[in-house]
Amino acid sequence: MNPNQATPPKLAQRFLRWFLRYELTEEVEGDLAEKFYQTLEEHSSGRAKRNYWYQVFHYLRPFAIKSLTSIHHPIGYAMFNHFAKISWRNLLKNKGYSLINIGGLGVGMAVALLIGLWIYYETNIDSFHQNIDRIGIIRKHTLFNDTKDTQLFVPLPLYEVLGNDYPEIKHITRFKGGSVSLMAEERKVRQTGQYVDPDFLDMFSFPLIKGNRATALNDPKSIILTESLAKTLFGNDDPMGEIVRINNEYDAQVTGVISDIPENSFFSYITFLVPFKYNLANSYLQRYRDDWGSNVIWTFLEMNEGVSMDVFSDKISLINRENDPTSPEQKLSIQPFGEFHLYGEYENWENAGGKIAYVRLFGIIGVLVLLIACINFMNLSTARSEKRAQEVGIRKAIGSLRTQLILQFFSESVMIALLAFLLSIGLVFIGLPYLRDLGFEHITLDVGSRFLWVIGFSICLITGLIAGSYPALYLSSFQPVKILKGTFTQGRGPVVFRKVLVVFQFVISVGLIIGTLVVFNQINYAKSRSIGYNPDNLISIQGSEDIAQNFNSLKQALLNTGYVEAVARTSSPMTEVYNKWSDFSWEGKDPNSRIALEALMTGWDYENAAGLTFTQGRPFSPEFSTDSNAVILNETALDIIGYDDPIGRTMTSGGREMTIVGIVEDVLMLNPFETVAPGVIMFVPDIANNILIRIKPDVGVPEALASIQPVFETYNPGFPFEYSFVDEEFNKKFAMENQVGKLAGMFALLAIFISALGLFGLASYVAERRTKEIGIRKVLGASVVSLWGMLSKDFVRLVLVSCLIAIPVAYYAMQRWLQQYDYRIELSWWVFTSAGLGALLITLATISYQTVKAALANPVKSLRSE
Amino acid sequence: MKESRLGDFEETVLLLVGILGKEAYAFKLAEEFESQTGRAVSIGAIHSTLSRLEDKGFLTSEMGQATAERGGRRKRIYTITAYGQRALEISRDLKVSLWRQFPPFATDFNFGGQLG
Repeated sequence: MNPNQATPPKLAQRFLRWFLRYELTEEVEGDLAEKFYQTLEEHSSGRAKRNYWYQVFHYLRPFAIKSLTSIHHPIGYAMFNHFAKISWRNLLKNKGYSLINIGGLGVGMAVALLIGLWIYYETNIDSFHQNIDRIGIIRKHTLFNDTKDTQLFVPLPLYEVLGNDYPEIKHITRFKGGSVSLMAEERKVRQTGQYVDPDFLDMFSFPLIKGNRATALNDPKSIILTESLAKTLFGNDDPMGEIVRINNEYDAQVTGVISDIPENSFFSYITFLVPFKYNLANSYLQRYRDDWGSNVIWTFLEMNEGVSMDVFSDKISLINRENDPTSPEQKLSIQPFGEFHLYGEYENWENAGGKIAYVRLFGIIGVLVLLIACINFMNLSTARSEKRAQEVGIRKAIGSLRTQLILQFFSESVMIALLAFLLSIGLVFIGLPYLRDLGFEHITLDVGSRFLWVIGFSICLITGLIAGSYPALYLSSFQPVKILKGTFTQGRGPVVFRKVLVVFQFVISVGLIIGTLVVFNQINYAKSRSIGYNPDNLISIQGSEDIAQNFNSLKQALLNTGYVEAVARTSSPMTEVYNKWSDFSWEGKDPNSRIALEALMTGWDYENAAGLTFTQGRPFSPEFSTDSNAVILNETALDIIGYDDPIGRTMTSGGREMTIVGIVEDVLMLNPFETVAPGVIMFVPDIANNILIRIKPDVGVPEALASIQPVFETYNPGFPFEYSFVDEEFNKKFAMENQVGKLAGMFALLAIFISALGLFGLASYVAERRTKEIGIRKVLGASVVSLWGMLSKDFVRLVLVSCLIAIPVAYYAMQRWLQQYDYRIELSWWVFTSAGLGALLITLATISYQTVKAALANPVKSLRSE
Repeated sequence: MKESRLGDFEETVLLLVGILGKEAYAFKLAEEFESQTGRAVSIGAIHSTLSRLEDKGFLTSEMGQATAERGGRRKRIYTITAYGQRALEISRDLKVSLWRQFPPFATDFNFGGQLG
């Protein structure tokens, strides 16, 4: 065989030379060559080559590998090494500017990172369900009081029709929430769970730790517990097969345990699952088994593979109308469950977004705040470019290419961005615990998560590239001859550009301030509106069968404690309305109009417990035997009914004729940003979904509670004593707006902080550049005040321009935001002026430190050297 | 202090160096190892051991002749030192002494100790 035919693989040789100690090269290459040619003689050339590679890799041993420093670096390593060194020296040389740059960028990135994590969380709610793409929830669209509403509650028989007649559906489940008491042996707890059909476990990815997924919900008297509830009820004992007593009425057997439902799920509140059949058999629901007019449950379904949810949604849209002739104006649609969390609002039967608006809003704010921080960097580097110009000139003179200079400035900015990123991680880490209340309670900074680092480094790279773009492209374009001859001066271009950027910063900052002010104004406006009752010192307790039966004794016992002023039983708590009926009629009602009235059912003393204000008539009273058919209207309902002298007149609900005995001021029970709906208070003395207790104003709440608790333990033994304060419940209605307001406020503060930081840097630069001029002016007699004015004027002008731009933009945006509230403030001029004035004051305060310092400086010092 | 005991592989390589004499260089040693023990070995593994043995003082080396099949490159020839010779002898004597004490017919094999 001709040995010239094959030679050892070149690449393997190069690789070997790259890592092998130089002094070993000769002997090793010799040995390997000998081995190669020997193998070549005995076997194929392919085998010889493979063996050569094998031998080369076996030289990757500590004794044979070069020490790290002597390894040949890829091309450009020296250059980047040099860049890093120069950048580092520059950072150290200008500590003040570096601090402003890195600090500002770090804060900006921290905001972006926080918002990024929040958006990631919000957009991944429930995304862990494997079949999420095929799961949908049924929405029902109705028309009442000339308003097109959309709701999740649908009639019961829909389940049967969909499940039996539509092969497109793979799984379907009814879904009804329940807050019940659960007792096991000695322990009792009140828990929130769901009544669902067995399909529920097939649709959603909640793995069973114990029990059989296929059969766990088949027996109506079964219950599935979450891991932690099982632990609460049974400790470390095996819960399987144990008995849980529900509401002190029915027993169910534990047939499964699921792991606790994660926070990033709509279902996270669920602690147990009970078969829907059980609830159907044992509750008021059985009355509605075939009722197409009452909407009592939610329904989830999962489509078969390959079935389009949209098409199917259209197909079933008219089922209700066909079965419920009393409501010709209604339809159904299916919302993909994946959109349920972020697109929860409907207007005029069309999806109107929902939380996605806030996700977008904060996404934009995050980018803007980051942009403000980038602008600082750009401004400071261009402002100080004259100093770097010398460097650029010399680099160019000794042969640097423009691309290399661009690369240098980019690597410098990316390096600063990396430092800022590390700072921002620290800031987020420190700040997160303080942000729990602002909607970040589920957000964690998981340093091990790949997502965080991918996001982090992309933010770094993008920030570095944006922040470094202008300096890189601008500085590298200088002509070396001009710079080195000393005739170089900055043109107007960069100065104008800088001003534009500062204006941009302040437009955003002022805009955010205005937004924050408007949000808080709107919240305060709604909070201070008249709500028609007195929520202070008012306790709300959920009812039960025992309470309903023992109510009178319970009431008397409560009053006997001496701490309680009034007790009332109601059909719903003060902050909710459970009933809305359309079967009311009255004299002169237009037979074609479709009006639903909110209905609250109660016994005596409701007006005392809640603290209602009567405008006409009187409350229900045991003195009038006729009051069993009495009704009280709110003012809005009176307007609709239109009676001039309502007291003593009658109206009907279903077949029942009722006499109007009183009119109360509108009671705000639902959304505080909407007008109060027409409502009636009906006398139904055996209802007890909820108990209202008014505590005497002059007694201590803890003592009152301590004396109330034993009463409930006596008369309501099946439930733990749990209560809520009505004023707290009422304030929860502002949670979303409060959160938005606080977040916007925080971001506005940070935005203005970063902008001010940038101004501070710019002001110091300007003062530094004009040292000589200031000195001469002083010598010629200029006063400190006039110098301060001269130096501040430019900045003030910029902020004023920003205000002029920000105000109309913010006006338009906030006007649109307010449109979603029926009950809203008028935008007033003082919001805009105070925001503008605030920005101006902050600007003056920031730059004054530098300008006053410059104006006070002794001219001898600045003029001595030349 | 430098490690001065001999591992099994090291001992074999050291013996092979002695056997091959003037031909004791990495490639040949690898060949010889394979043919004597029937186990495959890479040149790098042999080379690594040789360099370790040299560090321990059991071997010395010098560059030898260049040959055509090596593309004109020289090879590094290894020679056992007196210290290396001594280490081999100690190792052999120890084993011989152990073998002498080993009973000719080992009747009490203990299979896992479950008899006790």
